[in-house]
Amino acid sequence: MTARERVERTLPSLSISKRGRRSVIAWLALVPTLTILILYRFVPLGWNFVLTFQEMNYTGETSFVGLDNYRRLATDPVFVEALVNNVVLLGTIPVGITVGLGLALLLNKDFFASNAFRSLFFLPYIVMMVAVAVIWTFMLKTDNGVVNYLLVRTGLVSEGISWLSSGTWALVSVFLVHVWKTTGFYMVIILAGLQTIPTQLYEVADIDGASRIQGFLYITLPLLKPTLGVCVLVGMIASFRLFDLVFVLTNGGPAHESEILLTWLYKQAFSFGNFGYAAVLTIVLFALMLAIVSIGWTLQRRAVQ
Amino acid sequence: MSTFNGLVDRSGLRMLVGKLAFWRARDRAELVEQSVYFAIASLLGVVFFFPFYWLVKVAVSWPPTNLYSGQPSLGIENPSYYNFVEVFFAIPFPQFLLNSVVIVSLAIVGNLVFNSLAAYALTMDFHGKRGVQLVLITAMMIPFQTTIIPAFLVTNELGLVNTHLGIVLPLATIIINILVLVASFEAVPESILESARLDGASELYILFGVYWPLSKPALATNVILSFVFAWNAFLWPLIVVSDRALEPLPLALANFQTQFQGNFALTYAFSIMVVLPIVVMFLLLQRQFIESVVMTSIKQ
Repeated sequence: MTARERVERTLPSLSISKRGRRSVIAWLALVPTLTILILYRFVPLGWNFVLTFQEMNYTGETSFVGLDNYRRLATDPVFVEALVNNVVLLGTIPVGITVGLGLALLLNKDFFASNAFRSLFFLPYIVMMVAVAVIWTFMLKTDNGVVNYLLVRTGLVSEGISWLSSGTWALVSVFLVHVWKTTGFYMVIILAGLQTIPTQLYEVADIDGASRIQGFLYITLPLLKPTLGVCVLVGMIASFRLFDLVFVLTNGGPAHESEILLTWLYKQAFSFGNFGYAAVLTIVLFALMLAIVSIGWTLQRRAVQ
Repeated sequence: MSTFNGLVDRSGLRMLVGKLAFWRARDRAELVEQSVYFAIASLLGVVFFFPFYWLVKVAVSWPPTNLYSGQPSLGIENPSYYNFVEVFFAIPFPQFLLNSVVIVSLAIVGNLVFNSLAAYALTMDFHGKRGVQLVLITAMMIPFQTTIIPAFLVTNELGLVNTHLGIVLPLATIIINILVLVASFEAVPESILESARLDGASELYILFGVYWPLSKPALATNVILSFVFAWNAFLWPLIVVSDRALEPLPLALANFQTQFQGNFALTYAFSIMVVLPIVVMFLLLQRQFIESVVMTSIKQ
């Protein structure tokens, strides 16, 4: 018995059209996906908004508190700190893209083991963030970490840096590890972009007596613009989604100096039980991400036109 | 044998040597250039690869005391697998591994089945298709990270807190995977579908017997992405699971690190055990892996 016959048998009284039959099948097939999306995307979106006006105690009872949770934003110094840190970490994007571009230009050439190098530079990206954080936690230890050992030994610093236990350096550590992890990702995207540039362009430029630097500035860069735009956009979204690295490497510390929005809202909700305030922080994060994505899309569309 | 010797006679050999010399002369500049590239790449490679080298070096060091006393040595001395064995005694590793395997398997099966069904629906022309497409695009714009608090409350209402299912459910359908499948299904020629329908094939047969065999790369993307997402998931399990016996590996690793803070070698050994499956998968399926992981994250 075909599905069509089955549907006809279950719906005998309705003399449904071919399109109607198809609609029933289509909607049935969509049930699991739509259920999950409604439960885990759309319901939370609405519920989160409701939560911002509520206070919830540990037993799960809620009470209406008006705009109290929003007012709290203004008096929370950690929120400002986290917001600033999120913005600082956006700096990993230009750094990562620059290094990634350099690597891509290098590995776009054909030389011994160049393919193996591509995989090598991409490797940090595929390793689980928690493991990355664990590896670096021990490497960045002040007293017996290998990074300080190498820095002191080569004479770059006179005494070990307290990477994870001083405020500024903790954020620098997060920054550097994030660059290490994402550079390979940018490299792969840019490599794909480079391969779309026709080699004839360079040959013509060569005949016209253009130098390699001119070739890079007037052919490679302009044609890579859309690719680099994608890198920036993906990088920004990824940087707001960052959680594992900060949580494991510094846990936002010391004294919240490397806190970011996501770790702070996690702690507010699941360590302190302030679900209402955490929901407000979530809305801030969501608004930021939405703004970035829409700006990115507009710019991208304008670049294409 | 004799004919072979005849082929490689003196004149032939001389020609070969001549050709080689010509090649050398022409490409000497290129050879120098390539050596320079190789040198730069190696130098940067050493910097990038060092953490991995260090991971392995420390993990195979035994006894661990020689890591702390005096100057650390950079070379690998007396490698030993003792730390890897020790992990099994320190924590119930098989239990954590099982948790991860269950979660990953459920996520893969969920994605293959649910996404295929959804993609199949989207290849058809039906009432409300536009609406469904809009729902998918909108849902893609809602990052999961910004829904975690109510998502936890939803899971709580469903009674799925502290269950494997509770961890998997939000991962059981990944929208980008659906779009990849739709593109692949739509590329199947109409004539093949027509002939299948004429043979009286059921809808399910068309999906799993006609579309599936013709969509292997798209299905591979589905498997790879759900594997990677489920295996690496950290924030969501951290929220949903408080029972340590249910923790998947990333969570266990993070807790392990705080528990065995002084023991680098043991923690590194555990890290390697957690990371290895994805790295092996990457090395085996490099091209497909990069395409899935990178290209889909761009479209997202």
